[in-house]
Amino acid sequence: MDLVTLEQYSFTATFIAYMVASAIYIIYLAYKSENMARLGTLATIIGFLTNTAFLILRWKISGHPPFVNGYEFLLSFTWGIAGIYLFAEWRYSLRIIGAFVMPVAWLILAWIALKMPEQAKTATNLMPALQSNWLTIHVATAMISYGAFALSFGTSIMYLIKQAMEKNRSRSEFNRRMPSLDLLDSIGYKFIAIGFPLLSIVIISGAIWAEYAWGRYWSWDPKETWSLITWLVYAAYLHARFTYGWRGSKAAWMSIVGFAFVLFTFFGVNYFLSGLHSYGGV
Amino acid sequence: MAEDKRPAGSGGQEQNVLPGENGTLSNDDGIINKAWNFLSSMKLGIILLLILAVASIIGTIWVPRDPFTGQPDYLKFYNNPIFNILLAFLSLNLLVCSLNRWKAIKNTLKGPNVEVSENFIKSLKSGSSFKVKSGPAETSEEIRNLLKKKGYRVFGKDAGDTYKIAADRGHLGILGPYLTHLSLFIIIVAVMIKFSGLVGFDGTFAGWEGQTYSIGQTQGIQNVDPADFFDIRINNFRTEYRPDGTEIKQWFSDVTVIDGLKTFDFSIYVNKPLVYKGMKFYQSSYGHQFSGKFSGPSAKDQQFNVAMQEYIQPAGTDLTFVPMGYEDATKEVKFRIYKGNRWVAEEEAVLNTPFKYENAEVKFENVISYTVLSAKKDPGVLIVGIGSLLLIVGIIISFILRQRRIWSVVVPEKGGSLVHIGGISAKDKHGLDTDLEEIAEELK
Ligand code: HEM
Repeated sequence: MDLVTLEQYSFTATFIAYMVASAIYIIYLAYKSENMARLGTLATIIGFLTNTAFLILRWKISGHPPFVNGYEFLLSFTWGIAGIYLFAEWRYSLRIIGAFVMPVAWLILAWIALKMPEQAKTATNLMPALQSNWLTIHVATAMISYGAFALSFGTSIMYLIKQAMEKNRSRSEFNRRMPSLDLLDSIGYKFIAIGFPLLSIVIISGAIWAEYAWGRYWSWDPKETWSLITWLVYAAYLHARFTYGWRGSKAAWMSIVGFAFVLFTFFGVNYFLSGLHSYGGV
Repeated sequence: MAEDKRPAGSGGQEQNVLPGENGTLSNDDGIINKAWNFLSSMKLGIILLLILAVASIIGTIWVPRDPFTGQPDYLKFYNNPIFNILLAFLSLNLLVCSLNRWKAIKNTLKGPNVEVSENFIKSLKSGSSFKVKSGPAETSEEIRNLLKKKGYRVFGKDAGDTYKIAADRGHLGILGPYLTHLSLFIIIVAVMIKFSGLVGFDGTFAGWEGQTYSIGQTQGIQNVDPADFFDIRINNFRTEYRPDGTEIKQWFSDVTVIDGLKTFDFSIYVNKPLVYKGMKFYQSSYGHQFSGKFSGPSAKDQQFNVAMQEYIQPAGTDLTFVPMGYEDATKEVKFRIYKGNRWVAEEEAVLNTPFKYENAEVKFENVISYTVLSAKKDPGVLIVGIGSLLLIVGIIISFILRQRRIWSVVVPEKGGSLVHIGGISAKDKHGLDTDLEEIAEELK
């Protein structure tokens, strides 16, 4: 079998594995069965491995790190989400978080399967400006950073749900099984504390790369600007938390907005803003 | 024991700073003090961060366009004075805030204050009070040893029968945010100086193969002492194609730098600028001029001399030949053929080899190329680079070294002593609680 077919299989396998994992974790929300939840973990691990295989195959096929076009970047992103999620599951032994994080990875793959045109997926050679090691550092840190933000996003949603249930004095089994508000809040913070330094490295390595390629470390193009905006939001989160004790639901909302901006940096800038620009006849 | 007594998720204010430690002295009313306090406040900082975020968003949605080319001009919005005033405010805020905090930082580095009361310890959220059988002197010695074993710096004071101990670890962590903020301040200042146009320049240096130019001819050059001018000879501009022959791998400008008696050769390519005398030259654009002959049914051996993407139209045909590029290694001219308005072929022809298509023929005889380098000087780049590095180092320090402080007062009691022990950690309450629990276990 040739590498390109193998690569397509590895995408399909990852897609199915993340879908199965998401489904199992969601069922696990309502139906407590540890054995079933273990299958969810197994599916996530399998998906993570096939996702890794995809990236390695793509590297072999194209001859450069698989970080160049949108397709490659999104598969790096899902790799980061699954990897960080597995780390968090191992660290906190809380499979219930999977229901709020793994669907994000799966939805990204579903979006690729439904919306991304075939020609956008093919491996391409590197145009001259992209031939830089800084680009590799740039995307490699981005995938982990964004994965950490996705995890914080998941626990923030959980926080808001749990809080609503507590307000209604819910006695449901579901409420009992959700982790405590304090724990959710602190996990949300810890993963932002991982993502933020990495995001700083993402932005700075990108600037260094631009300086080598174009002699301009910052040119305010929309992608650059949106990553800066995301950085500013998370910086505001950290400061509000530190001095004003903005925890709980305020922090959860900021983490959700931050992650919405992470997604916008990719999807919005590529498909919404470039749509706005295209009338200029670029 | 040592448990958090707040109601779960109350979102209340965490105990991060002790009174008087946050640097904002609220009992000053003078207008200058008020302004100073406002400028140093984190509230202003957070508001500025969010305003900058909103302003940046606007700049990506409402993009000014170049009136002639229609190209988006991203810089225009962000070069606006209002945006720069916001940046200036942020840098001022960071500076004033850092200056204000210096005293608190110095105190933290010196170590926690030993002179605290029992009530202070009892008021801490993490901690406990318990009785032990050994006497105060012995107990306090044991507490000190336990703390030292856990990597704390230990300070102590005995007043008669009462033993006071203060300890901390991870105190260097507070330098992290400090370093980050000062780095950010420096970065913003360096960026703003560049925008002011007082130093450096952004220009364009262009020229034909085989010619020598003084960098004084660079379009847009300024803030460079003419005594520092030197010459650049453009030896060759070449395009390297990938094996398939259509996709471009790299562009090179082979140049010779001539500075008085000193000369050296250099190949500039994308991602590899020429750096000399504080000026940098980046591969930015290029062009070719093609000359040769063409023939059609109604006219033979006509001369042409066209640039890239210009037209060669042999008379008596509806064909158009459009040169698109040139590969030095194989001496191939790459061109497109259009029939009427329709693009019908993408072809290559080696120099001096006639190429026939239907009833037309072209022969490319000579190609000469020019290169366009963007030239710039920005003394701020180094500062921004170092600033960025320190910014990252600072952020990493502030998340890795997490400060914990512990106080203990040991007083004599019938049949042993009474230990009050408690602590504060803004970022690692869990680690602190574990330490406190373990110490209490050991003592009991
Ligand atoms: C984008 C800009 C900024 C970045 C990247 C930044 C970065 C940081 C970081 C990483 C921390 C440590 C936070 C934590 O551990 O949770 C911190 C703390 C802090 N920041 Fe900033 N900061 C920025 C802007 C500001 C501004 C404008 C102010 C305004 C006064 C400010 C004041 C503070 C203070 C007072 C602390 C606590 C310091 C301490 O614990 O010693 N920061 N900052």
